[in-house]
Amino acid sequence: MDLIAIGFSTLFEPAVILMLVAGLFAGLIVGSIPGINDNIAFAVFIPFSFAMPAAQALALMVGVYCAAASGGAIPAIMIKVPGTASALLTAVDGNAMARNNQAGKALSIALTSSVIGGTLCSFVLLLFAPVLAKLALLFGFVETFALTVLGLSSVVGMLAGNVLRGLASALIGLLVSTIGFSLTTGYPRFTFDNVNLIEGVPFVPLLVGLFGIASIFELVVDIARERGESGTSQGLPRIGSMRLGRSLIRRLLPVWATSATIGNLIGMLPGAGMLMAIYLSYDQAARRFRRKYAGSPGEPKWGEGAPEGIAAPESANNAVTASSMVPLLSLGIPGNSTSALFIGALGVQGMVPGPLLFSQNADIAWMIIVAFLVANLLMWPIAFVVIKSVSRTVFAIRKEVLVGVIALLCVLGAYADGANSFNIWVALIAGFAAYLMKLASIPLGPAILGLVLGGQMESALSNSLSVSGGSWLIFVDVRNHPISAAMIAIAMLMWAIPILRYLKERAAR
Amino acid sequence: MPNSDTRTTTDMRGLTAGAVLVIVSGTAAFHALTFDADSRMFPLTVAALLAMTGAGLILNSLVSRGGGGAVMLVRSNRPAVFTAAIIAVWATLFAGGAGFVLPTFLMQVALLYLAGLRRPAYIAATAILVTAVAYLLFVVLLDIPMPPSLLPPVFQDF
Repeated sequence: MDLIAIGFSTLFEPAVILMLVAGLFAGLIVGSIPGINDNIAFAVFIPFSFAMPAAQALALMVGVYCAAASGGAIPAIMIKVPGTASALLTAVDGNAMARNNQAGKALSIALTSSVIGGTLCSFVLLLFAPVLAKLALLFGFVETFALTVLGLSSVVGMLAGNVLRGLASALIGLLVSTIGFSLTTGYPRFTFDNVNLIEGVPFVPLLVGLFGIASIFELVVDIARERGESGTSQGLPRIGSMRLGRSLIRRLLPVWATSATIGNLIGMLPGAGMLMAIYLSYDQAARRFRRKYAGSPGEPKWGEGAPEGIAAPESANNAVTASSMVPLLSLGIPGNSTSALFIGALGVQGMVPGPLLFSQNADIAWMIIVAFLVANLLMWPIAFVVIKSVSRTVFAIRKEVLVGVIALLCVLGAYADGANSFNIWVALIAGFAAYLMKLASIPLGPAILGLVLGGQMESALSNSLSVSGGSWLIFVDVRNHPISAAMIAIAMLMWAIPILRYLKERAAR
Repeated sequence: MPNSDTRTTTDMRGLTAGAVLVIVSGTAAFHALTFDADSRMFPLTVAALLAMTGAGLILNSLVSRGGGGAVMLVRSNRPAVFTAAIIAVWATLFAGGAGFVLPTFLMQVALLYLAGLRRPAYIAATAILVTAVAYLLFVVLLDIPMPPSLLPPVFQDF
């Protein structure tokens, strides 16, 4: 308790808490710019922290880290362009609600979910950080491969009768993930002697293209269609009231609890990443929605404005931001790419994450943990101000003008990742490919998951098989790898249940 | 968009998607065969599975109906193709040494016109404003290095 008190007293020095608030404002604004993902938002602010004392600098970075993940939901809901990768699923139901004149409600759900997910996991981080870090150590190659299988299986729940196209999408993602040097042998694959592809397809421009550029194509086609039908184009959705009714809060409580738990567990696993947590929680929310609300009067279809479709990913992504700090601070292992950047922020201050951090810089280590809790509690009022002021101004711009603005932000966002012109072409090609996939009704979500998990899956599979002498039974070895066996069993159930349900329905017809 | 006409035709989108997937995965598998044994296992497996999924999509589209006619598909998506072309021209000029300001201004003008705006003064003012704000944000504030410029020395920073 003394250490937690030291953390609070360090954080509540005026200059330090001011930096946390500044980080929250900046993270929300930068995170809400389409094309600037949380990695870029975080990386942009690291140079600002050079000249600051350690406590102030790291409070600023915690603020940016927490807020960028939440800020991404704002453009995802308003213009269907996720500001950050963590908001990619929020765009689906969030934008549908916004188009149904419920933009304020959708933003409020996203914000509340982020705050609840982040706060719950901050408590867990605060109380159980040392214990939870030990759990993460139980994950070897075998368990990591099983985890990637489980992650890919999570897409089944969101495909709803589109399994073949969803599978194609996941495989496209896995195939693209093999471009570049093999992680196990170092052999250059599908690089065609292009040095820009040696480390694989650059991820930030790829995401900017798949979501940002593709959404511009959709936007211009929408504008042209609206002009063809009515002579004018529809404006952007109005934000309106942000009040949430009690019944909606009661309805979303189980979703928040489940998603925060998933985010917490996944975030602690080194390398598992935020996207897997988002997909798993989205899948759970989809199943719950179909079971309890689908088909009821006044209820939208899943993917067309279901509040659970916003609550689950937003709750999970902020849960991951806090819990990914468990392996990072305790073991020095980043839970995701943005938390890896946190190592850089600590390094700038001459600190190395890991057990030594808690013994040599206990005040700073506990200040960071406490800052996550306080950042999430301060997020709601600050985000409310940002949405009511900055976002209202940004999204009052005409849709026709926004086409050029988003296009420019996307191409410059892609270019800014390494100041490389090749990235612009990656974004453009990825955007066109995503648009063609949409025309062919191939969902984009599974491809992203395949892209994210591909490298990890291949390397874990290769290492596991070399340990087992080529035997695949290692993944279902209950005695030596019970966690892997359990995850493979859950993954098989995720595939089997919808197929059995489909066969049962067909037999009934 | 689907009309009574399209409902009676083969699912062209599914058929095309399946065919593209089979061609792409077949090419990838063929290329993967040139890798060493350890490096090719994963991409070869994924490519083979993708080819099977593509074949499944082709079969599925042959037995199902709907999906829209090809001519309708091309016509309704023409603005997307034009947008891609505008961005490609911008990227070529930007990377080719024309600086930041001129290609960006031209891209904004072209996109605003494509989006349906027709008042020249409004288009010019908006394009100048967007270009100026982007220049301030990315070049001045974030200090992102621009590609080498072929412009005269006086305009090097633009």
